[in-house]
Amino acid sequence: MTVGFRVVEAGIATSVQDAGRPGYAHLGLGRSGIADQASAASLNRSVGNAETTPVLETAGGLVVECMSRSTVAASGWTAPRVVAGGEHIRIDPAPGQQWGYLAVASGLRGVPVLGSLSADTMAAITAISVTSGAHLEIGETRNVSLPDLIALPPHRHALTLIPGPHLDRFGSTALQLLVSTRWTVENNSRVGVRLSGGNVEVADGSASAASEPMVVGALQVPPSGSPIILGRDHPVTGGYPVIAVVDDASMSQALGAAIGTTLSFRLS
Amino acid sequence: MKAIKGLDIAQMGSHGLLLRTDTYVPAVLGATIRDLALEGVSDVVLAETTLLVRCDHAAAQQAVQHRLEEVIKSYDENPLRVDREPIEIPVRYDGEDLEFVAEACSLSEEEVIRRHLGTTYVAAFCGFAPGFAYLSGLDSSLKLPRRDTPRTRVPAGTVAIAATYSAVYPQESPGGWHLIGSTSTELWDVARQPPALIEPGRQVRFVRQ
Repeated sequence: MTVGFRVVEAGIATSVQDAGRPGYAHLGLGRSGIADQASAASLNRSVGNAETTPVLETAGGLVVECMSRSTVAASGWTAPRVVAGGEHIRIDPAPGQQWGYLAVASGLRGVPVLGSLSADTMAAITAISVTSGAHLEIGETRNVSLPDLIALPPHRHALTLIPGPHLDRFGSTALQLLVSTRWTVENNSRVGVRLSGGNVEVADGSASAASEPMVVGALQVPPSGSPIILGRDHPVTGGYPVIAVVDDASMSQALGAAIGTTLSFRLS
Repeated sequence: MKAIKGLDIAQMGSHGLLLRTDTYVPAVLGATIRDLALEGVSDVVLAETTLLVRCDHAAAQQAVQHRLEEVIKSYDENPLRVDREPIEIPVRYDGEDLEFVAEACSLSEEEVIRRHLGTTYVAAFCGFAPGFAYLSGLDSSLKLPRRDTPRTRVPAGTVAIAATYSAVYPQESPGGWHLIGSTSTELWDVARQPPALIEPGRQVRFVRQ
């Protein structure tokens, strides 16, 4: 391992993320992992990495200094670049995106916690601390032939939802309202994406039901009627009913939508 | 949704299979499924009367569902795994809600402690936070709803009760349960395998310190 970067500005909600840590949900620990996997995967591919090689994830304002010559790709770039030691790189989310990423050839390195380098905000796990002044290690650099362009993930007009499993805990028009409303992203954290713009009717008494298992992308509806899309760091169980779950193919776009942007849904 | 032998399976998104049951104990069924190490299964999430089998990828969901249906057809539930000694957790009954709990249950504080100590608990499931085990078996005279307003900060090691459960907060977190005591036993340690001291299905006894 060699020192790849020095953190100049830690930025907002910056962390190291990879594929996350499966296998511990029965102990109450969720999977975590890269929020917008499609964006990170295209950057990783462009520098010759596997799709879930550890990357830096930030809500903006991250500045790193490259400590040695390395091949990197960041959100908003059209192609990967070879940067020299001493060069500064600023990473922000691309327009309309909540999360920006920095991928480096051979990936960030560190000592995994329970098999992953992902920071889990819910579980207070930080394998690699990204604070200003920190040194981040990378793997041995090797020569890769770089593509000319970073492929952009597809952008869907409407995100696909798989209805259920708690449809019996909603009013009869709730699904219809969900797909006919243009939702605004109120807030977006690694735990969840809070939407506003409509009132999804929850059946009486449903809010106090027993906790049930949750999945990433579940649209939980609290009594307020404003849905929350569960993010990668969601608690493994939750008490609010789930009207639908974002389909895997639409997940990155749902979790990656910037605060203030709008989302529409369609049923699978 | 498909009902087989007191259980139904519903899809929850493209990766999840939600099993609802009022016949089986989720911790036991979940352990059985985990022990099978089915191809394409990454996690089993447990709750009170439901469990969720999470698949590695969307393409695995259907095959896993068929395998689960087969497993359940021939499933004969063993009682909770009692082959292991109960975990003993030493408790100091110094919680700030002990007086409130005694009053609300029309018992003396000493009687609340005696009844809390007088049961062998079983970890029904873990949720809310890593290593937070919902321990069933709480004396029914101690059943109280959660606090109307959760506390923003409950220290690690706090022993608490709510509804039909007791629990120990593994890490500092917000919490709406009634705090009756504390322990210095480490409930969650990522350097340990498994990281949770109390796994679902394990028996637990509290002992007075």
